[in-house]
Amino acid sequence: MIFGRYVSGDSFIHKLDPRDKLISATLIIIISFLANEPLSALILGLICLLILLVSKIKLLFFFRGIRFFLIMIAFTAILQLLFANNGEELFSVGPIRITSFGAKIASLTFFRFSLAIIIATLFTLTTSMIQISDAVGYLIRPLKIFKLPVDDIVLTLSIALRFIPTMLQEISTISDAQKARGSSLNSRSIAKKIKAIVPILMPLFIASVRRAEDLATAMIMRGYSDGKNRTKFRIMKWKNRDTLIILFLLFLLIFFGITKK
Amino acid sequence: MEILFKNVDYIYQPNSPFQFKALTDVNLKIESGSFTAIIGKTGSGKSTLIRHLNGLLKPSSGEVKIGNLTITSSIKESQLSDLRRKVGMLFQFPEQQLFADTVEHDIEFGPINFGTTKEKAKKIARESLKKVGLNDEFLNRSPLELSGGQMRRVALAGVLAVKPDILVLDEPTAGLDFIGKKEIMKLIKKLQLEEHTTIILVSNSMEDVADYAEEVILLSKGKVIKQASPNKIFSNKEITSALGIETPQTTVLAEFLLERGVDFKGSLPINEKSFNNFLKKIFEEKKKTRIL
Repeated sequence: MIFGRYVSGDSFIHKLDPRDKLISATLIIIISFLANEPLSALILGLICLLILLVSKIKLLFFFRGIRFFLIMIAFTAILQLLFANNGEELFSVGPIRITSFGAKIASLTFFRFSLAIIIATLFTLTTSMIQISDAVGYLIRPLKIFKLPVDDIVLTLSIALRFIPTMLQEISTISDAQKARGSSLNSRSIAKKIKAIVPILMPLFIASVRRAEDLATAMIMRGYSDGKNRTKFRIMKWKNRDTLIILFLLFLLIFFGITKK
Repeated sequence: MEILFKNVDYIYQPNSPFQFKALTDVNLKIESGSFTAIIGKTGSGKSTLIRHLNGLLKPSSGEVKIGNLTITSSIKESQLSDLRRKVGMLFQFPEQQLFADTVEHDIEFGPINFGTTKEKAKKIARESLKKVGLNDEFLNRSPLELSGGQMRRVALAGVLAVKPDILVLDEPTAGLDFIGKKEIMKLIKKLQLEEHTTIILVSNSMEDVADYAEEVILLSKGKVIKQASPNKIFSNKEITSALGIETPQTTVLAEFLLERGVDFKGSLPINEKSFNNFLKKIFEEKKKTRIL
């Protein structure tokens, strides 16, 4: 599973401003909902492939990592293909009718969802957790007008993101320990599997609460009050290329929007 | 049960940018009923190595033989259940794995998983708790309200409850006070001597290793550098200083004395007992020279 992981690198994509990457990833996903014809879908697909190649992430590693999602999406698409009844009939086997409408819906579903997964994975693979939280923090800043505690939200978010790897490590240690005591975590029966989760979740919760307490104490001791008027150590620099990328995607959005049938 | 590693390699996350070779061509033999310590710096592969002992990790290539079970990369999870019963494993900071509402239920977790009946498990919980030096009062208390040292004993009781033939301990004394450390180590030694449990200890405390282990496996960068008695390992200055391995305090003290001109030939002391002999010999030597 590679969704949510970060692979450090120095590719063009890695160096883009995280705010740009966040906005662009969102734009591409929105555009994918407008691209409902073969040609526009092909263009968008090629763009994604280009991003993937430029990011210098190994293709085999990438697709193996998202294999699970792709299979799930394909499964959903096949169900839609089998159960859609409108439209012309292409052919039928017994009670199953394959219709043109079904085929269209199924291929669109597969295209859109796999595109979304690919783009989201690419975003997290090329953007570190800290960059993501900085970008989100910047983008929700306008909400301060509505008295939203933006600084606190950003702090919470960055702490949460920071501790994901720690918790994953903990989960693997605790589940190793419980497996060594004969927990049936790897058993085939689902009921047994669910029962085996409690001995892993309980210690994880306890450890998280303890850690939160320790962290809060440490922050108070070091004089943390609130995030207002804090200066930043990592300063994000928006460059011309970031503007160009956004403009290009906006153009694509409008173009597909107008030509959509 | 005898443990045998034959050309074992282990690679974490192969074919990905995170690929990391943790063990390289590991060959070793651990005798049944022995007390073996595994030492090495952080990242030398100690934790990876011990996870092979109960099939939590399977060798990427090569084979691990435990008793008459051979573990290769292709072994199925269902074949490992029996092995997990025979090999008890106490991980680092094991108090983190306590989860049940009472101490009793936590200790019963292992035995019940391995198919013991509820009543029998109850009896075993009582016995195991006694083994680690806690009385029956603790049975109905929540593991979370105990002190650090008590929690660690409860975790150990949970592992002992399965009555393992091989007991693997990953830094069982880390973070305990001096008395707590000594008690845990004595208890482990007692298990070896009285119940003939094979003990495998991962430790950064060279004093513990020198005091209790019969055999030491020295790891560096995923390779076995040397397997020998503690005496041989710690007196081999070339290896210990080249790898930055600490030596027991008594050895350090003895070296200091030699540097200051004390005359002594033979292997350096590694623990209190051998240090006493060391001093005795020095003084005897001195007496002789005085008489002459």
